[in-house]
Amino acid sequence: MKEKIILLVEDNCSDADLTKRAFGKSKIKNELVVLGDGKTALEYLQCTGEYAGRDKTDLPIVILLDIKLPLVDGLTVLKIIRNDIRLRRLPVVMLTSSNEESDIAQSYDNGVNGFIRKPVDTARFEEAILAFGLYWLLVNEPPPIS
Amino acid sequence: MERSKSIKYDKLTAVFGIAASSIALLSLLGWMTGWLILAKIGPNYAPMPIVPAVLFLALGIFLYIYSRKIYSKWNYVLAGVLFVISLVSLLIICDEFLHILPDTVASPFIGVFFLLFAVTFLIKIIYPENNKYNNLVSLLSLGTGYYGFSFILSYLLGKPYLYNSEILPVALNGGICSVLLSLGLLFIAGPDSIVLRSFIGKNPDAMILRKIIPLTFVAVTSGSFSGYFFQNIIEINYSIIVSLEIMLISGLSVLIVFNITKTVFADSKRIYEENIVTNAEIAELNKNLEKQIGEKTSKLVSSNKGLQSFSYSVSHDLRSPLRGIDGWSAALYEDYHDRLDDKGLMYINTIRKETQRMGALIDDLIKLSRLSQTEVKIEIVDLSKIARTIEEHLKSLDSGRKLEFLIEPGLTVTGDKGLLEIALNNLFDNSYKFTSKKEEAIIEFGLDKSKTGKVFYIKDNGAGFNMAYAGKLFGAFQRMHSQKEFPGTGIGLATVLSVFTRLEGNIWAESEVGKGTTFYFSMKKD
Repeated sequence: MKEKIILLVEDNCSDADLTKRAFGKSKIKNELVVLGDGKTALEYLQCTGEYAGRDKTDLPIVILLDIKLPLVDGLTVLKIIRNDIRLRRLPVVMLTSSNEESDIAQSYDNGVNGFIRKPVDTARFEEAILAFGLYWLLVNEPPPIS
Repeated sequence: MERSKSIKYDKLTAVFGIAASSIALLSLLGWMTGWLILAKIGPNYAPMPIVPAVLFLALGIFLYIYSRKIYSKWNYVLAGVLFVISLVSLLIICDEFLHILPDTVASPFIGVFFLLFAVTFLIKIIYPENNKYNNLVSLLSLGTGYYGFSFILSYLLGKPYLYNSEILPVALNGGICSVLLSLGLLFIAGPDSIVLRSFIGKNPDAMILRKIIPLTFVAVTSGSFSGYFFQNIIEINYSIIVSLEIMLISGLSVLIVFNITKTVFADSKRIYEENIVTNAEIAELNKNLEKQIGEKTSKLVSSNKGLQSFSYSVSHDLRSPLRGIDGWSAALYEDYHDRLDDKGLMYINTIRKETQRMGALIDDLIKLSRLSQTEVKIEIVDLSKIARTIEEHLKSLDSGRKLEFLIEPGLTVTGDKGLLEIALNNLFDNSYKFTSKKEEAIIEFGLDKSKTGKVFYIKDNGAGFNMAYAGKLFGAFQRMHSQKEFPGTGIGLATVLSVFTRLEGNIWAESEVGKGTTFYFSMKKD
């Protein structure tokens, strides 16, 4: 079976490339799909619009979601995922620059599985990505697909 | 307004002065023309002699001149003349025993008036603006006024003083002139002097006094005069006169009391009505004020919201380019380090260090800006406990440093726990940092018993700073040391100050270069 993808929703190219780089340096071999805004991410997950022909059962193993996104923001994307009967069990982790308490609280209120604040220090950022990958890809038992 | 008031009274003085002078001038004319009636007023009365007439004329003119302030430069001349007049009056009085002057020069009784009057006038000229002396002048002129009035009264009763005795009696017009001059002097003492002050104005006591004084004058004068009239002119029984007089006086007293009651009631009614108006005005003002506060508050709320979104943007948007700079310089190092020389590698290192510092700066700034947005919850806070937690944390950093903490147990304060934690953390971090070059760091926390009130201190044996720059200590981005010596953002102590400002407390520091720094803080509520 093909390795499941990791979905990164991030509008900042530099950040996205750094994340890609961090993944590439780690042992994680899953494909990283990067989408630049919330609307495209939802279309990808729900197989609509641009991604109308996509396989509906091909869901990411984990979604990395920025909070500040163009068109549809991260929190709304999270809410829609949690209300979608097919997507609601997907592990979603917020990966963001914000450490605004209200952002963290609202994310958890809407059923987020984790919240990672991207540190400025690249070394620490890479550590975080490594720990994240190890946990979600190797340690965690993924949800059954309904 | 005060000024116009005193000008009004000065005008009254001028009128009284002119009136007295005119009467005296009339007497002089009488003496000159031989129409003695002009000096006498009544056919059987004593005439005003020439000397008092001259003196009255002069004093009236002086009052006029002084009140109009025409020749104020010549006031010392006036004072000199008044001094001479008092000497002349003294001579007139003493002549009763010396017998140097002719008997008809002047009555010693009017001499007493001139002496008192001249001295009082002198006091006014010497101390024109002194409140204490103004009060004295007004009281003295009231005295001379009464003295003058007693002469008039004696004429009213048909028994002028000293008639048919060897001493020269005072003329009726002399009495009138005395009263006029005294009134002039009374008004020149000003509306703020004790006598006039008790008469004028809207105070109830002044209003009552205004009613009662004229009425008592009328009562006494009419009572005495009617007694004299009934006894000497109609010649009826003495006891009937007494009872009639009692009737008259008691009737007048009833009138006085009635009048006073009316005045007082009218006055309290007026005050009551004024208060109603004032209350309405206050209510109106309050309403306006509330409206303004409401507007200001909503403005403040919106500006606070703006600030919140600003700090959000700062934390989110400023951070990500920084991460880019750091990330890509790290990538540059990792992928190309073999193609760079040492200098190039050092540049990369510097870029990354500076980026880290900028990150720390942003973090600290956000913390500082959040301080003003958190709600303050006042409770009893155990400072010693917080200090011990900080001690554990600093010791756990495992820096290989020798650290000694001396924390006084059981210290509490009334304040917000979260904010005080932030403040103490910053203060201890500060001490920890600035003792880093010492062999052994000693950080003390306790209550300073030598100071009044509850004053806490955090003392270290660190690098210290020059007290000449103490004013900059708590300013944001202000630093006392170079980055090389002691790295930092310069926001820590600004945060501490912000905490104590929010808690209405005080923070200050004492320091000596090389010996260490002591921070003191106290709370308003303790």
